Amino acid sequence: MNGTRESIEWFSRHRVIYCFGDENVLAFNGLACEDVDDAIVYSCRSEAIPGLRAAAALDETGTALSRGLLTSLAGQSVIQHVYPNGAFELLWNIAQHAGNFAVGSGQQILPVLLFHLGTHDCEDLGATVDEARVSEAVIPYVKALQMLKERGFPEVFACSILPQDLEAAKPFNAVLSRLMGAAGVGFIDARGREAIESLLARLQVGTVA
Amino acid sequence: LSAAISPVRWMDRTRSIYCIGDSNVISYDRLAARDLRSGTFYSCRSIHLRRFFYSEEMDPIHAKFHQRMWSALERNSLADGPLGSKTVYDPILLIVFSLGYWAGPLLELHENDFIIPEAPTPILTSVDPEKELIPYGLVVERVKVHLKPYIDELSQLRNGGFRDVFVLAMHPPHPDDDAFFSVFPAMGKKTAVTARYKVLHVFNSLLRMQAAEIGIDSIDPFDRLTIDGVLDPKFNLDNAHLNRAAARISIETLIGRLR
Repeated sequence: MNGTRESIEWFSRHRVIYCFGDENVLAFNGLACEDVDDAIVYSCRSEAIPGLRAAAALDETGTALSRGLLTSLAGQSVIQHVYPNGAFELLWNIAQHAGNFAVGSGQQILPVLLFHLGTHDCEDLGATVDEARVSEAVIPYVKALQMLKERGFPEVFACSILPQDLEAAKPFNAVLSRLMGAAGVGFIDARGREAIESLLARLQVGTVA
Repeated sequence: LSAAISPVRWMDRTRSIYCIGDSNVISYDRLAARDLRSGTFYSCRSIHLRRFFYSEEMDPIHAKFHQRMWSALERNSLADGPLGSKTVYDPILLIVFSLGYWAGPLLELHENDFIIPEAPTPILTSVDPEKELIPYGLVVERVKVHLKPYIDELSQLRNGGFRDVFVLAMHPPHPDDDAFFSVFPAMGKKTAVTARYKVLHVFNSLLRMQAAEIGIDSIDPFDRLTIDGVLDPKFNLDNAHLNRAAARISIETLIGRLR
């Protein structure tokens, strides 16, 4: 039986939450929900670099996103045309593709970015959390997300690290939350569906123009 | 910031359609639909591999996936590798790579023409009296040569354990010569619209047949995208690609084929 227009309901307003980071982001992959009042559907797609540390969010100069992160972002078409110096283009600024980043009404729609990094740094640091050492470990990650915000992504969030089997997770998350907050990056301290609901509640009005 | 929290309804049955291929996949990205029969929510994810040709990049000696395709599958947790068992449950793959394979045999026609047996539409029956006719079978053989690496790799995807693999037929090109040449200057004035559509017909027929032989279903919404066998202008995006309305038709067809 062929699908017909009668048997399929299309969602004209669909925002994707792109999840990047270590393997823990795979927990979000495929989650989808519908905002009943605003008639928008949200879905999550994850791209993971297993074992990724926070320091690997920036390149060796500390002034540009790392090649690994750029590859992930480009792999999901969140960014386009990555240059050797780490600069990149935004898909919706490329005339050829701008129309494809619009909803059915022709309005521009921007991706939401959710990151999960730090679990392996926390493991590396051991049970006793020293605030200065945590800061040193995660600052490249914080800077990377700040750069993305400055580059044109208004909705950038960082997720707290998972507490399982990590005694130091709670104080680690506290430092991460403070640094992300200072950088203007949203911090989500929840898991799975609850994390996405928390994120949705914090999306800025007007992002779907 | 918005403090209001709207009620959220979670989708319990979700499946992702990974659209992998050339720039034609971009129109599919973020399409989202619900099958009202099963309640399943489908979302499309485009994986755009630029300037990618199986024939140039695959490893025919070892018959392995070539590296860029493999990397794309790994990055999306679709293939074995560093991610091990953390693969996406039951992905649907829609492979979209037709343009490069259609262009090759089309250019190889040079200044010649051919007759399609039992051509179904007027544009396919037309023959240029100024051109020399070559046997239909020769065109078929040339298309087969170009298709072989494509079919080989589709076969590997199928054998690799992906249950739902579909291949998208080449869409009808823009029928206006100036519009077509403006986006495909490399093909210059070497081709005529009738030749483009005739080679396309052969190409899609063989793609459909050869894909079926290896157990892969093809999605060919040609009839819904054309009027009298020529592209309906309402589906044109930029003279090279089709728009999201056309993509929705392909996805409707695909969802209808899922078991």
